Amino acid sequence: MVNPVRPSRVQEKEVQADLAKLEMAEALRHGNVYEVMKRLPAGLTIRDFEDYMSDQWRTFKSQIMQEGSAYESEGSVHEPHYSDFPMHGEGTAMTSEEGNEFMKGMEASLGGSGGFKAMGVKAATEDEGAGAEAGSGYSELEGMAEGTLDEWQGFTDEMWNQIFDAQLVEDYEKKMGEIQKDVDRIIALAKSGQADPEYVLIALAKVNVTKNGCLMTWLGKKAFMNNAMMNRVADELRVAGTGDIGAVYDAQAKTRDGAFQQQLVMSDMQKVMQDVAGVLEQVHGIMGEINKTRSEIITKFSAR
Amino acid sequence: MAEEKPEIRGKRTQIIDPTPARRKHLTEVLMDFLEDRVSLAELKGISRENLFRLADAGFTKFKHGRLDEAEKIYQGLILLDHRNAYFHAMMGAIHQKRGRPIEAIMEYGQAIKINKIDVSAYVNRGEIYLRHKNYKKAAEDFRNAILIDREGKNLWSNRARSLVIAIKRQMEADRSGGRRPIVVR
Repeated sequence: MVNPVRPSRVQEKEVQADLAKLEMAEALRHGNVYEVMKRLPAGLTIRDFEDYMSDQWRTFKSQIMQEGSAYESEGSVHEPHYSDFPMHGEGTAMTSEEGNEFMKGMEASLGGSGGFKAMGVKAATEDEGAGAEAGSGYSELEGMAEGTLDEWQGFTDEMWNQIFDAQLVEDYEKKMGEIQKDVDRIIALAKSGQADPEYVLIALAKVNVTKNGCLMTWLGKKAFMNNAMMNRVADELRVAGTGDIGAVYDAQAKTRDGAFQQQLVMSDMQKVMQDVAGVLEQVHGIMGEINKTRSEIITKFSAR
Repeated sequence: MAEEKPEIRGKRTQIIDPTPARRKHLTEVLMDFLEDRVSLAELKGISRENLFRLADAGFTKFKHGRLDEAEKIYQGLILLDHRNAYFHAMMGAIHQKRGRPIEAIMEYGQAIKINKIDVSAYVNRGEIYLRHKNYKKAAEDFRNAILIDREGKNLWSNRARSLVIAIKRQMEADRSGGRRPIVVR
């Protein structure tokens, strides 16, 4: 194997890029940015100028301030990531009765209560004696974990609802703001006789459809959330196993509730769609009516 | 039988499959648990997602200085899954912040034992050694942390790099008889 000893040749592209940068710097030195953009030097585009200026910005910024911290602070740990949690083995879960039997067996084999303790390193503080009973500690922690999870779940559900509502309002305001200008313009044209009244009808139908479109999106998201909830119930049931009658009943109740919610969402969707269809039909009817009247007028005039 | 009922903690009614195959499977699972191959979370059927959510809640509390609550959550998590390096590293950080260096070193040691490339555990443990003037062990931990990330992209590894300089300064200060505080924050 022979290693190349000569330095690699500079490609024409690199040379051209450097020359283009010089050319851009020169053009910007002599004139206003907007004027330079209007009369671009040959072979350069607005994109090249934007790239050049963003490069310059980055260079100047990096000379003055540091982006992000260079190292972490004392006693800090990164936030949890899914990769920190190894996959669980399949079929290792016990039913809660089996679990209770197991705990009893462990306690008995380790010489009564207090023998079976947590497997973590616990701080030996004065107020917290190391002899706390494992059973009560375990149930307390289990209760706390379940409580925190429920709290978390409730919080995320509530948060999603709030987000969806906020998105609906924002989407609605944005779209209505855009459409309002068009409607105003069309009404003004119709009033001055420059546009036919059909256009006003179409514009108003568009307003209605946009409004209902926003509602439809919102309902779609609600349906998605319900679906996610149902999936979660199915996952929980999979973990608990179908041998657990309590879990099955629980899942059944949750699924029933989810199905009911989904039905409500679907009926709302149907209502929205009916509203859209009704408005379109009405507009269609009115337009037909206008045309009919117009043709009648023309016929009667021509008959005279 | 009737007297035993109130003792049962579970709220649900279960069907225990009495087949010999199920018994054999359970025995194997319990043996795995006793030999540290299966965690309590796996036995209890607590999913990774739920453990992650709890860890995330604990991390948020830790980040905002609510160490008592974070400690309780991670104590519970370690009980549920003592084979997770992240839980031990977090517990170490909590002990470190609460001024319990021995417990912190033990937790970091546990985290490193499980995950040999846990940079934050190496750096945090090394820093505790450094503050207690155990320069040899501190340098060893910083060396490991730096070797894990040779490119200098990891923030903890970069901290180790700056702490190596702090070791040198501290040793020089000790030699000259003066006491110089470690200033890397």
